[in-house]
Amino acid sequence: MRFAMNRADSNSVRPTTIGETWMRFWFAPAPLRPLAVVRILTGVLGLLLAWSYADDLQAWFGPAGMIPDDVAVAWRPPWGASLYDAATTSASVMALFAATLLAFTCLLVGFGSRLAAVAAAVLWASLLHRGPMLAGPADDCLAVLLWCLAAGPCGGDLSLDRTRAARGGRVPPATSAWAGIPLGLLQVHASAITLAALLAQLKGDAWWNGTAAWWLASRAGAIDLRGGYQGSEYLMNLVTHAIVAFEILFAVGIWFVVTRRTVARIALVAWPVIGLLAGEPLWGLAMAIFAVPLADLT
Amino acid sequence: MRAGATVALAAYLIGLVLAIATNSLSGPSALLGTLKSRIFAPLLTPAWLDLGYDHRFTYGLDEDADHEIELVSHGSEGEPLHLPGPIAGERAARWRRLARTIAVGGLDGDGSTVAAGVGRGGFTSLGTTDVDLRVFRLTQPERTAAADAAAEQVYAARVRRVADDVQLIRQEPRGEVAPLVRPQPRAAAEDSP
Repeated sequence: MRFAMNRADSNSVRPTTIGETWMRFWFAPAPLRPLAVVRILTGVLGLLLAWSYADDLQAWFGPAGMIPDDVAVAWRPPWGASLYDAATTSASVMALFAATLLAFTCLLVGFGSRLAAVAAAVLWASLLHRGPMLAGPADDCLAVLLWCLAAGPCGGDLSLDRTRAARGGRVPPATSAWAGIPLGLLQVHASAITLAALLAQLKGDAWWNGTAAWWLASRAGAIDLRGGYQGSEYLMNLVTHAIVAFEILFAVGIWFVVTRRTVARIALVAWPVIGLLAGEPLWGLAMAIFAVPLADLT
Repeated sequence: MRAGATVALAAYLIGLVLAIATNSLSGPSALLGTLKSRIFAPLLTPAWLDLGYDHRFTYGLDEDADHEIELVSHGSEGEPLHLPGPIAGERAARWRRLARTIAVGGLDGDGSTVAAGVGRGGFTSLGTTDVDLRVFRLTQPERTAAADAAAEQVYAARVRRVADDVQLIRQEPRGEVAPLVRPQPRAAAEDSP
């Protein structure tokens, strides 16, 4: 079985040394289209997650809000910092939040894409540090996606940036030697996040004795399959074990050429379904976004 | 250029491994915790990348159940404010995380500081400076139990403003604050002077 250290050229010559493998994985020219699709989907995810703050922004972070500065500072880890710490009025909180929405919109349409990715990453991290107790798994994944996009030419395709460059007679190439870094980071994080979630789950009895699906279905926001589980214990066990089996398959399968594309395509459906089963649909969407470049859809 | 990128990538990957290893529910080892906090935390933490990604979702424990906040003006029979109430989606999930933080606390302490903030924020909504805050856990029954979810009060406190200070007076369950008195055997009691 061949180890997939190059996303784009699965038919090219096999690297012989660790150094060659490293260089090919991170620096081989890679197409810009997958990164552009990730950028668009991340923009959509960012707007959805940011919008979940909108109605309660002042109730949480306003001058008389429920999460005062001192509570947020006490709750966040050392070295945590937030631009919102300097926002002491309702207007300034709203201005920072509007800037976050603007950054996600620019990312979505590909306007000043690289700068938008950096700005969105900084503003998103600031928002999460302002109320760390409000953050969930989808927020964590979004932060990673944004920093991955900031690490490479994410606006080279399907973007206003490309359209403007083409009008100016400078058509950007379809591939870039620097696209490998964000694509590689996405692949590494897809596997690492899945493994970390898997290890955390397997510390609990519910994921071994097959009852986790029942407890997931009991959560608000999850698809309520409790009627089915009450009728069949085997169904409940099957769903629980299928989630664990898929996570193992995904974390490992994306590293091998022969399985990578198939696993990633399964993941495009499986992650959103798991997200719905777990009551974390946006986390499911975020995990599916990690799989997009590996699915080789273009 | 590539050499610089290689160094940065290698350093980041080490930081990623350390972040995952030190942010699990089990807690960090002294060695890895020190390495991460001294070298990598200043870079990873502000970017919201110092994460364990330990998205377990459930262990089937009580604390994994949904939590809700109730705020009511102290001593009044007025309509309580339920959070998240009827809203749904990610917005509601954030309120539930806030409620759970109050009930369960975090690695560094209980949720009373958060409860005080939430109570203080409730002053405006309820038009008062003295509120009762309660957190309810919607405990789910086992699959085999023929019962519905039950709302169990897991945290209660009175939050009030006195002069410029906000005071939180936690209401402990009686069983936790009452002195434990063991009845003495009757014979021993009768023998005693």
